[in-house]
Amino acid sequence: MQDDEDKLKQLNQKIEAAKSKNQLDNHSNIPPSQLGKVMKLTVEIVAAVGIGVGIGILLDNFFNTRPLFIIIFFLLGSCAGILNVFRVAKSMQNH
Amino acid sequence: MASAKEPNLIDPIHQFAISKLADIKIGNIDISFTNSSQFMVITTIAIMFLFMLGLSKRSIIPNRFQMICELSYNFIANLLRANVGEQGRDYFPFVFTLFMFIFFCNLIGLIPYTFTVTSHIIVTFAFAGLIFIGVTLIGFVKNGLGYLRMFYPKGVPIYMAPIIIPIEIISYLTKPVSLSVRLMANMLAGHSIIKIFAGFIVMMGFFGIIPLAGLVAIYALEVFIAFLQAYIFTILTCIYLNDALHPHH
Repeated sequence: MQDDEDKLKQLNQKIEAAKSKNQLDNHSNIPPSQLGKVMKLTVEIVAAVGIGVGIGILLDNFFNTRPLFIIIFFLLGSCAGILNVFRVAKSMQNH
Repeated sequence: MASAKEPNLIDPIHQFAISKLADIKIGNIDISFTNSSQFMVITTIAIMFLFMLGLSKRSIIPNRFQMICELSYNFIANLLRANVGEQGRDYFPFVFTLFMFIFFCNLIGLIPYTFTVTSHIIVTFAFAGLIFIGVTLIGFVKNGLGYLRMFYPKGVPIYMAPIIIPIEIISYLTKPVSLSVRLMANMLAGHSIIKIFAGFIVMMGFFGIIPLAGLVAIYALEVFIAFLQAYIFTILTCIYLNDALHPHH
């Protein structure tokens, strides 16, 4: 009986040790590859410009003011793209 | 087509073709059962089979299948706890299902003669769009109209608002696009490269052993990418969820 309890205690200690080790591992995520980083930044900028132009086309069709809103939202989309890239790059630096 | 004349011609895009297996139409809407839907069903059955196999015994000392189930559960549970906190537990079923489905789609697509569901932008965009709409709704439900404050950063002068707010809204709308394009592009590129290298093996005859060695390495990399992309998709879902639940960052 005493033997069993000792074993149980040892097991508990092992579990605790494994748990604390696991918590440390959580913060070290898989490092992104160089190509992945480049892909991410490119997609961010292209998607933002694309969405900006898309909104512009929709608004122009709605108000019949082509090409006014396309131009405005293309510029806004470019700004959003640069903002996105800036934010992603910032979060990459912090990691 | 051209491939009929030259059987050795490399056609790396052919593997992504959608073919109808059963024609189903409701009114004018085409909801035919395609090879894409077929592999979605296979993926779902594979996941269910794995978990039924793993969780049928529920022994204290787990066998291999139970280990896989417990490891995947712990992996996603830790991911949610690290990125969303304790509140994230409510969303565990969705995030876990999402991860398992994408991971299995990617893995099953690597088996020869199969179809990669996640290599089509419409599939990944449906996932990302659904997540995006859901996360936005959660944000409004949990924070009320205060959720709109994230479109107007603190410390910005009021005369900048007409420029900053549209930029922030566009930036917010970019999220599902970049999320879905990343998964789709990785799958499409990886599978095309594998097909192209396989074509080299046939073309080079005996010396095809060189691209064959390269292909083995690329295939190993693809298995890793299959996991990595599912992981990235899941972790970004967690991050968006966290932004919706705690918007003051």
